Amino acid sequence: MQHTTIKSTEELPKAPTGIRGLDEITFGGLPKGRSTLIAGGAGSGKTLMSMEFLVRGAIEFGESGVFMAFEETSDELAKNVASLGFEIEELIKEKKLIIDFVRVERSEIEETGEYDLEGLFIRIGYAIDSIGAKRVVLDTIESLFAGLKNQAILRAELRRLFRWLKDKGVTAIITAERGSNELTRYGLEEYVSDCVILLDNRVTGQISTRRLRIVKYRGSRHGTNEYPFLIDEHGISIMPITSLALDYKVSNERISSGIPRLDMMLGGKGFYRGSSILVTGSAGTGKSTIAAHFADATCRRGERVLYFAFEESPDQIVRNMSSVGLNLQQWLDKGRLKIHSARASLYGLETHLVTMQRQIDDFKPNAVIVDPISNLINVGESSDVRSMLTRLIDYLKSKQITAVFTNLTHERLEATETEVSSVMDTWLLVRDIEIAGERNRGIYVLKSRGMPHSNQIREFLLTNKGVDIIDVYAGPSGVLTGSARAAQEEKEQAEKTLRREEIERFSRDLDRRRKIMEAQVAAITAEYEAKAEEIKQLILQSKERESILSQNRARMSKARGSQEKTIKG
Amino acid sequence: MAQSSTWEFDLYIVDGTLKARFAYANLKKFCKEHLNGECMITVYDLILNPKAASDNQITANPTTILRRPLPERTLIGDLSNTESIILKLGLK
Repeated sequence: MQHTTIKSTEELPKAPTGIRGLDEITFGGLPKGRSTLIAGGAGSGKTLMSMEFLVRGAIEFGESGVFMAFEETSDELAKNVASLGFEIEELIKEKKLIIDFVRVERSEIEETGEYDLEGLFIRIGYAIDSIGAKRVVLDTIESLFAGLKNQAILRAELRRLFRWLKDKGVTAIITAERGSNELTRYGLEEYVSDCVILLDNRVTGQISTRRLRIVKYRGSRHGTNEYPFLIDEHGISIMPITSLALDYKVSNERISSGIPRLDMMLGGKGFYRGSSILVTGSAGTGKSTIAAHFADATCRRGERVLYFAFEESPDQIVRNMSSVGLNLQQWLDKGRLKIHSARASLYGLETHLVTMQRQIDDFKPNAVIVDPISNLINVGESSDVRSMLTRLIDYLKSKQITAVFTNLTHERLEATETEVSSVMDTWLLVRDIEIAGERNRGIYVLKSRGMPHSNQIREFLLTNKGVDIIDVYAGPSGVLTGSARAAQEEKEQAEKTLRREEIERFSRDLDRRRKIMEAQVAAITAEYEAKAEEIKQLILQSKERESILSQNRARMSKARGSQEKTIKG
Repeated sequence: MAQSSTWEFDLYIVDGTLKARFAYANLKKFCKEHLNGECMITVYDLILNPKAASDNQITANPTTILRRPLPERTLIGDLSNTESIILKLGLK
C-alpha cells in the first residue's frame, strides 16, 4: 500500500481485507469498526468475498470472525468455499471462525404480536464474545425480509442492529441482493452508509466478466472505476489500480532484444528494462519469432520470462521456434521460461488480465510476452481495452518487468493501433513488402521513447539460425527486398563485372597501343639507324670521292702547272 | 410425561423486557382458556443462556416453540394475537 499524497492521519482506521487488489483500491481496506455493504446480483461473489475477508482476517491479520449465514448452512458454506482453497473447518476448530446459520422461514413461523430481533443480537453477540471476533459478516440479512411479515419492526430492528454492531466495534460486511432500481432490493444502503461496494457479473458477447466498484466510502478516498475481478482456486483477485499515479521508478538499463541488428536499430543497445514493446505486423511476419528471440535472450541472461500465448500451445511454440534455431525447451526445463496458453475467447479481457496479473505475481518474471495482444483486444469492448492495458502495463512497469506485446494487423492499419500503441514505449512494425510477385518482410522502428533509433526499413529474414536483419536495397526505384533485392544486387554485380572487364579491356588496349607505339618507335629507330648508316656511308663515300677528286685536281693542277711553266717558262 | 394431551412449550425471552413478560402472561392465559391448562411451559432467558438462541434458531424475542405434540411449531411475538395462535396450533 502506498499512501502517496494524503496524510495518513486524515485517513480512517482500516481493516485490511487481504483480498488481492481490494486493499489497493480502498487504500488500506474496509472501514475498521464500521459496516460495509456489499451489493450484487445472484452469483456475483458476495458470499465468497465476505468469507475471504474473514478467512484472511483470521489467517493473515489475527482477527477472528463471525459469519452469520442466512442462506446457506455451515456445511454448504464450507463446501462452497473449499473450492477457493479455504479450509474453514480448521479455522472453526482453532476458534478463529464461527459460522452460525440463521434460518427464518416464513411458512414455519407465526407472528403473534409485538417482537424484536433481540434473539439475533444475542446470537451475534455470543458468537463475537466467544472467540473475541473483530470481524462479522451478515450474509445476507435480507432473507429476514422474506421470513418476517412485519416490515416496520424489521426495519427498525435493522437500524438498531447496525448501530449495535458499530458500538461493538466490529468491522462488518453486510451483503445484499442488487435491486432493479435501487442499489439493493430492500434499500439496505439506507442503514449502512460508511462503505458500499457493488459487485457485478455482466455478460457481453457470451463472455461473463465480474466487476467491482466502490460506490461510496465515507471519509476515505478510493478508486472509482469498475475493476474486474476473478474468483478461482486462490480466492478473489481484483485488478488493482496502479495507474492512479505515474510515479514508478524507471530504469536506464538496456537489455538486448536477442537480435543484434535490432539492438543496433534501437540506439545500439536494445530495449530499456521495464519498458513495453509493441510488435505489430500482419499474419506470418515473424512477430512471435521476435518475441521468442527476446525470451531466449532474457533466459540466457539468467532471468525469468512468462510467455502468454493466445494462439498456440506451449509445445507448438517450442517446436516452431526450434525451426528458426531457438531452443526454448532448455529454458522451460530450467524453469526460467513459463508458457501459459489460453484461448482468448475463453474469458473476457478483464478476466484475462486479472489472470495474467496473478500469474505474474506468482512467477515473478523479469519479462513478459503477450502473443498476440490482438486476440485480447477482440474479446473486449474497445473502450475498455485501453484502460485495461494501461493498467496492466502500469502494473508491469511498477515491477520493472519488460513486456513484449505482439499485435496482429490485417492490413496496414496503423491507426487502429493508436489505442494500444500510445501506452507503449517502443513500437516495432514488421511489414510485408510485396514487389514482383513476392512477399518479403521489412522491419522498422515506428517509435522508441528515450533513445535515438533508426528511421530505416530493414529487411527481416527468418533463417534456420534465427532472425537476420539486413539492409534493404534503397535505390532510385524505391526499397527492394527479397529476390528483387537479390536481382538488383545481381544486376549491379553484373554491371560491376562488366565495368571491370571494360577497364581491363581499356588497359589492355592501352598496353597494346603502347606496345605498337614502342614497336613503331623501334621500327623508326631501326629505319633511322639503317638510314643513318646508309647516310654515313654516303657521306663517307662522298668524302672519299671528294678526296679522290681533290687528289685528281691536284694531280691535274700539277700537270697543268708544268704546262704553264712550260708556257711561261 | 410426554402424553398426547400435554402441550409442551419452550419460551425463549430476554428477561426483563416488556414483550417477554407479556408473552409469558399471554401464553399462560392461552393455555388456561384454549388448552384446558394441560400445558408445560419452560422459559429460557437468552441473556443467561445465549447458546440456546443459535441452538434453537431463535432470532426474535420473544419466541415460543411448541415441542409437543409434533410437529414443532414456532410462534414469535408477545402472543397477543390469540386468533393466529389458534390457527397455527390447528385448534380450529
